[in-house]
Amino acid sequence: MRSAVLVAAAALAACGPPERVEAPDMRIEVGRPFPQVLLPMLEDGSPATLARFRGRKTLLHVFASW
Amino acid sequence: MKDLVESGRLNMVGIIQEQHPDRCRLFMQWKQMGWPILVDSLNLLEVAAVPITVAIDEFGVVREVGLGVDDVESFRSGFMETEFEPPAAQSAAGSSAESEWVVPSAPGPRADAVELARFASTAIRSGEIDRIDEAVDAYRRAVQLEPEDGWNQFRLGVALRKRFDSESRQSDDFQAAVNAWKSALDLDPNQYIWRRRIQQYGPRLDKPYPFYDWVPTAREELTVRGEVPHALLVEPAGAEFAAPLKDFEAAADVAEPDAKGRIHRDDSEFVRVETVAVPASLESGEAAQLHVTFRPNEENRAHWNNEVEGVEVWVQPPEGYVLDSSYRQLAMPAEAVSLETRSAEVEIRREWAPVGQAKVEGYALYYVCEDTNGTCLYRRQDFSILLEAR
Repeated sequence: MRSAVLVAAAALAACGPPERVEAPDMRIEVGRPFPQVLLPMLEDGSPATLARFRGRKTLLHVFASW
Repeated sequence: MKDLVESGRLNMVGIIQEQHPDRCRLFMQWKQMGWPILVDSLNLLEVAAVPITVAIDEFGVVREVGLGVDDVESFRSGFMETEFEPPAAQSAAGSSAESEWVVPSAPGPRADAVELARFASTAIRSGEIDRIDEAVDAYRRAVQLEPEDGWNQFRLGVALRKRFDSESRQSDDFQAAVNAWKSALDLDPNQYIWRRRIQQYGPRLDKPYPFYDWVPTAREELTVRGEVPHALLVEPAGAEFAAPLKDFEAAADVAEPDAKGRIHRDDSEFVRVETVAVPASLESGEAAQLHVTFRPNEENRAHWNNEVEGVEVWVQPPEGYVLDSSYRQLAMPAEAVSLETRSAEVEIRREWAPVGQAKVEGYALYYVCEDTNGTCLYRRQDFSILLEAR
């Protein structure tokens, strides 16, 4: 049992510290690209970002029905 | 604007901030708006308020941000007529390309809060309801790691409420969602989206907000047009309508339907009852909305029997509290048997109750059948809701 624990500890140490995952930047600001966050389409739940609307100007409304 | 869309010069797109996105589907049907809509129930865009209108050029760069677009001519002659230069590097700001829709394995024990939140949000957005438990667990871990991050608290609430509305629900999910939203709002009381999320389930405000007053009108007008209104998974109720505030009645003015406790109890649990208080703790003079939900038990194939009368609900306020009304009878459909979830909303106000816990006790009386052609019974089920007077 003790040797198994030592082997496991050595293996873990060899992996190094976990990489810090950075949170994405969600600022909506003039002059910056609109955040390309993946969201489900209301129609069918399929994934989409606003990148699919490039090639044409877009008027985006962020709203709620309430 | 319609001409700009029809001529192909302009996309009109929406992103909605709703706990129940199917309500927006009904709204769009009513308003005959056929735009593409993306759903951001988790508020991943981190908007502080709605509505917001954003003008984005053909390269995906934000050119204007404002609350509403009042000056249409200025929009046409300004934004629409401007030839924008492409950015130096067409890189995506934010998280991900569409190929990242696959939900990864749940994060390991050494995952940090960002990784946990990213996993949870992907699971929620993907709509894979069999991953909802993992998503809730991941958000809970993220909150434990970074308790000062209001965003994870808010999104934990969204996930819990989603689970409550699904077949994977756990009975305390709704209360836990409200508690998570309250924690988020305590961290950032200026977050309008978070505030409205609690208010839509809470007691009616001094100035009631018409969250979903449009729903009955939409249904009537759609029916007149010959259309079938989109069905809603969860019906709006209680504070989601800006009904006039009722006067609080003294419980003694209404006859209690089973004061002596003579009706047989529903020991077989043909109906499952869930209770939530929004909020669960009150200062003196504050009100809460109590939600009592009744669901026929699928395990024993129970059905409502609608041939006599609707569910009767009696609630007794503890000492030092008053209710809008102790008694209510819930509506029932025309068909003889049905399976829908029914709910009662009760407003309670703390008057002079001392600091400490109080138990709101009540019961429901209902007609239920064991199966579609099974034995029909008249039963009583007692319930209680804990409130904290602080």
